[in-house]
Amino acid sequence: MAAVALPTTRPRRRVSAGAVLSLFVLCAAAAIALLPLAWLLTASVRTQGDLTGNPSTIIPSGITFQNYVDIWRMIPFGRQFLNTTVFALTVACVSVVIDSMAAYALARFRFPARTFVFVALIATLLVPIQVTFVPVYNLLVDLGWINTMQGLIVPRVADAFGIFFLRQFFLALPRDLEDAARIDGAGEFQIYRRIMFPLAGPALVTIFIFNLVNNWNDLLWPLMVMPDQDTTTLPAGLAMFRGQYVVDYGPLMAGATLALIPMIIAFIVVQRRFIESIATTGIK
Amino acid sequence: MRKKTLVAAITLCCASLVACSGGGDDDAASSDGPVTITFWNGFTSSDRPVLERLVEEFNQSQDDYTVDMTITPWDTMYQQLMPAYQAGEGPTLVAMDPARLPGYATRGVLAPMDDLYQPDGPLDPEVLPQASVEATVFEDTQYGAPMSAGAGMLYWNKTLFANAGLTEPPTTLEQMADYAAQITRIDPADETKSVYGIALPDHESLSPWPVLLWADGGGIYDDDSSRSLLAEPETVEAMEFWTDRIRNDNISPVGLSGADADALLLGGRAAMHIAGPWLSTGLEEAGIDYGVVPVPAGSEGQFSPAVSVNIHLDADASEAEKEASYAFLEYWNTTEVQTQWAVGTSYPPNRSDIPAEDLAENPTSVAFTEAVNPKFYQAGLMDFADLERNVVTPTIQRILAGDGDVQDLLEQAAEQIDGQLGAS
Amino acid sequence: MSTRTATAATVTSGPSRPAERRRRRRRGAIERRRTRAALLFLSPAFLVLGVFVFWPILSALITSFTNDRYLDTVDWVGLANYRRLLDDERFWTALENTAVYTLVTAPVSVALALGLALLLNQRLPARGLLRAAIFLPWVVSLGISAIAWSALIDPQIGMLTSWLSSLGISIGDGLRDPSVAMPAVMFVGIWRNVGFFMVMYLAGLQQIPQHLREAALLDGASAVKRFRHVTWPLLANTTMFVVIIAAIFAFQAFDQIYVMTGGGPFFQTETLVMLIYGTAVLDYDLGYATAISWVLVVIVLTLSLIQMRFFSKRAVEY
Repeated sequence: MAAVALPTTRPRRRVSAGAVLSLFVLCAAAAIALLPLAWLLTASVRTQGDLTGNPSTIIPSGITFQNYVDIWRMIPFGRQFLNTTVFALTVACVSVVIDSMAAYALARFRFPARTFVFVALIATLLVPIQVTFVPVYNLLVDLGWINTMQGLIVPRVADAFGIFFLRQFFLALPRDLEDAARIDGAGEFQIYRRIMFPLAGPALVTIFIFNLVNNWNDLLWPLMVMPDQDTTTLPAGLAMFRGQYVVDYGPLMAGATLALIPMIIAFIVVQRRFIESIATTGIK
Repeated sequence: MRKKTLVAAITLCCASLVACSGGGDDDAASSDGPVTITFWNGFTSSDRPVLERLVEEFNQSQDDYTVDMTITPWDTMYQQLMPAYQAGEGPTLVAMDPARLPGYATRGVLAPMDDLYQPDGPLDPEVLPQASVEATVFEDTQYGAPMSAGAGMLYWNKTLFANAGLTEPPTTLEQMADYAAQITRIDPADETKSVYGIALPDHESLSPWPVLLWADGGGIYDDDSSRSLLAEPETVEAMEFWTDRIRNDNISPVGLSGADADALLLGGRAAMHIAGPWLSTGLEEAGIDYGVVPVPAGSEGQFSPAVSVNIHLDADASEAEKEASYAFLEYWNTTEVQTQWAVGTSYPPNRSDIPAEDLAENPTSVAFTEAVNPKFYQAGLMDFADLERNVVTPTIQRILAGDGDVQDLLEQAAEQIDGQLGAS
Repeated sequence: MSTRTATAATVTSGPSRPAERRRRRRRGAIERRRTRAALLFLSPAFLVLGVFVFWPILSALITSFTNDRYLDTVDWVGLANYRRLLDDERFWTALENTAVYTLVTAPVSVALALGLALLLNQRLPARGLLRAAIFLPWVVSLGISAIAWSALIDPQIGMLTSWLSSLGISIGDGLRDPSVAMPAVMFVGIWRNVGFFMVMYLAGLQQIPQHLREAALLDGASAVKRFRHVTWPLLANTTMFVVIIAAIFAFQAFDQIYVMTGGGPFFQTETLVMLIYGTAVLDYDLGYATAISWVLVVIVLTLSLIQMRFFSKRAVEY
C-alpha cells in the first residue's frame, strides 16, 4: 500500500537509526561479557600487593610477568597443560564418533524399545554428575582407575547431549542417499562411514567444540578422579591457588590466561563454521 | 530375543575387557633407589616457600628417602583425602587439623604411631608441645606427630588506631569492642571506602567465635564433647553482646571468610583481626604498621585459639614407607629445622628447648610464643567438620545477619548438635 | 534448508504400489538386519552410559537404603533416609533454591539471547567482533570467571562495587548478604550461557528464508509485527531446543555457586546439586546423599517424560 509507493531509502534510513541503538546495546552487552575477562588479564600481570592495595582499579600500577614464571614453579603447569590437552582432545574426538553412531541409530532405524532408549537418554542428559559421583568413584576405585588417564577419559566419551543434538541433525537428512547406497549393496556400517559421517561434518564440529570446551574447563571431575598433581588437569591444578586463608590471584590468573588461549584459538578457527553448523543441523 | 542375548554378550565382553585393562597402575616400589613417600598438606600462604625449602633440604641430605610433597588449600585437600584413601591412592603422610583426626581415625585410614614416642623412638615427647602430642591421641592410640603448633593472636593496625586517637591495643574484650567502634568509619555513599574496627570472620577461617565465647564463660561444645553449650545463658549473653556491636555499631562486616578478613587487614581497611602467624609476612609486604598481642581477656578468662597441624601416616603404608616417614618426622622436629621453620614463618618452634635469642631474627615468631592459654576448638569429635559446616557456621551467620532471635537460633542449634551427638 | 525440502519430497512422492509389495516381501530380512545394525551402532554409547551412568544410578538406590558413612559397618535402614528428608528444612530450602534458580535463569538467559541475536542479525559494523565478545564467557572456565566476579563485587574491595557506588548503586554486603548472593550467582550463570544460546538463535535466524522477511517488509509490517508473525513462529523449534538446554544447564548449576558462595550464607544459595555434593563428599553421609540424589532422579525422570510428550508431538513434523 503506502509503503510500496515510498522510495526505498525510507526503510534503509530507519535501519541505520536503529543500528545506532543496536550497536549501543550490543556494546554494553559485550562490555559486561568482557569485564571479568579483562580483569583476569590485567590481574595476571599485577603483583599481589598492587591488587590488594589498589583493588578498585583495573589498570596495573606496573606490569610484571613474574606470575607467569611462578605458575610453572608452583604447579607442574606443563604437565597439567599436556594432561588437559590429551583429556579434552581425546574425549572430544572419541565422543564425536560414539555419539554420532548412537544418534544415527536413534534417528534412522526402527528397533524394539527405541522410545525407551530415547527416554533413558534424555534422563541421562538431566541427571547431574553429583548424583552418580559416589558410585562412579567407587567403580573407578574397583577398576584401579583413580589417577589414570583412562579413568578420566572413558566415563566421558559418550554424552547424552551430543547424541541428542546429532539425532536432531540426522532426522533432517534425506533418506534417498542411504536408500540408494543400500540398493547398491552397501552394508549399514559402510553407509554410516562413507555417507552419514561426512555429511554430518558441520554438526560434528559443533559437538566437538562443545565437548572440547566443557572438558577443558571441567573442574570437579578431574579434582576427584586425579588427586595427584602430576596427573590432574589445569582447572583442578589452578584450584590450588584459591586457599582457605589467601587467594593468590596473580599466578591463578596467569594460569587461567594461559589455559584460555587454546580455547580462544579453537573458537576463532571454527567460529564461522560453528554458527553455520548449528544452522545446518535439525535444531533450527 | 537372540539380538538381546547378543547385545548382553557384547556388553559383558566389553565390560570385562574394560575391567581387565585397569588395575595395573600400582607404583611398584623399586628395590634400588630411594623410597618415595607422598606428603599432602595445606600450607598455601607465606609459609609455603619455607616448607618447600625444608623438604628439599631433607631430600638432599640423604639418599634413602624422597618426600614428594603436594600443597593444596586445606578445604580442597580434605575433599580429596577420604576418597583418595578409599581408592588406595592416599598420601603416605598427611598434615591436618587435630579436629579432623577423629573422622579419619574412626574410618581406619590412619596408622597408629605409638612407637614414635617410645624411649628409643625418633621423637622425644618431653620437648614437643604437650597440647599437640595429646591432640594426636584418639581413643588411647597415638596417631601422629606435631608439624606446627601455635595460636591465633590479635593483629592490630597501629596507623588506624592512631587515627582514632588510640595508642594501645585492647586488654579486655569489652575494650576491644569499644575500640573497634571508635575506629569504625562507615562511608554510606561508598562502601569501598569504609573502615572497620575489626574483621570477625565466620567461615573458612581460624574461627574467633569459640574464643570469644569461652572468655565470657560460654562455648560451643562441652569439654568432653558430650553436649552443646550454645544454649547456655553465658553463650547467649556473649553472642547477644557481639551481635549488638556488629549490627548496631558496624564494628565488623558480616559473613567474612578468613581470606576476606585477611584482605581487609592487608588493605588497611580493618584495624584488628585474630589470625595465625601466616598473616605477618603479607602485612610486612603491604607496608602495614602492625602489632601482635594475645587475644584480650573476657569476664571469665583469657584464651587463644590454638592452631596446630599434625602429621599422620597412611594405614596402608609399607614398612619401608613407614621407616621413611619416621625419618622425615624426626628430621622435621630437630632443633635446626624447627629454628628455621619458626624464623621463616613466625610460627613458634615445636621444641621447648630452643632459646628465644635463636629466633631474634623474627620478632613475630617470638610474639607468637606468648599466646595466652591456647585452647583447641573441639578435638576428639568424629563429626566435628560436619557439625561445624552444617550447624555452627550457619547459625552464627544467621545471628549476625539478623535472621532471627539470638536465643532461639542458639537453642535450635544446640538441639541439633545434641541430637547428632546422642545419635552417634 | 535444502534438507528440509528434500525430506518433504520423499514423504509426498511415495513409492508406487508394485514396488511397495516387493519391498514388503523383503522387509522381514531387512528389518532384522537393520535392527542388528542399530543395536551395534548404539552399543558403544550405551556401554559407556550404562556402566558410568545407569548402573551408578541404580547402585545409588541401594546405598540410599543404608547408613553408609565410609565406616566399617553398613546397616540396612530401610526408608529412614527418605523419612529424614521430609523434616529436613535444608533439603526443602535446596529444592526451592533449585526451582528459583531454574525458573529465573532459564527464561532470562533465553530472552536475552534472543534479543541479542536479533540485534546481531542485522548489517552492523564490527558484527563479528561483538558476536565473539558476547560468546567468549562460555569458552572460559566457569570456576575461574566466578573467582573473577567474586573479586569484582567484593563489598569492601571490589572494583565493580566502587564503580557502582560512584553511580549511587550499593550492593550492600554482596555475596555475604543472602538477598544479594542468589541474584549474584544467577547473574553469573546467565552471563556465561547467554552467548551460547545467542549463537543457537543466530543459527536459527539464518534459516529463516529471506523472501519471507522481504515479503513482510513489503507488506509494510512493523518490526514488532514482523517479529510476532514471521520470526518468532519460525524460531519455535530453536526456542524449544534452547529452553530445554537452558533448563538442563540451570538444573545442574554448580561451579559458580561452589566458588562464589559455597551454598551460603546459611544455605540460602544451596541447590540440590550442592547439597548432594556436600553431604557425600564433605560429610561422607553417603546413605543420605544418595537418597537426595534419588529424589532428584525422580524429578528428572518426570521432567523427561513431560519433554518426551513435546518431542513425540514434534516428531510428526519430520
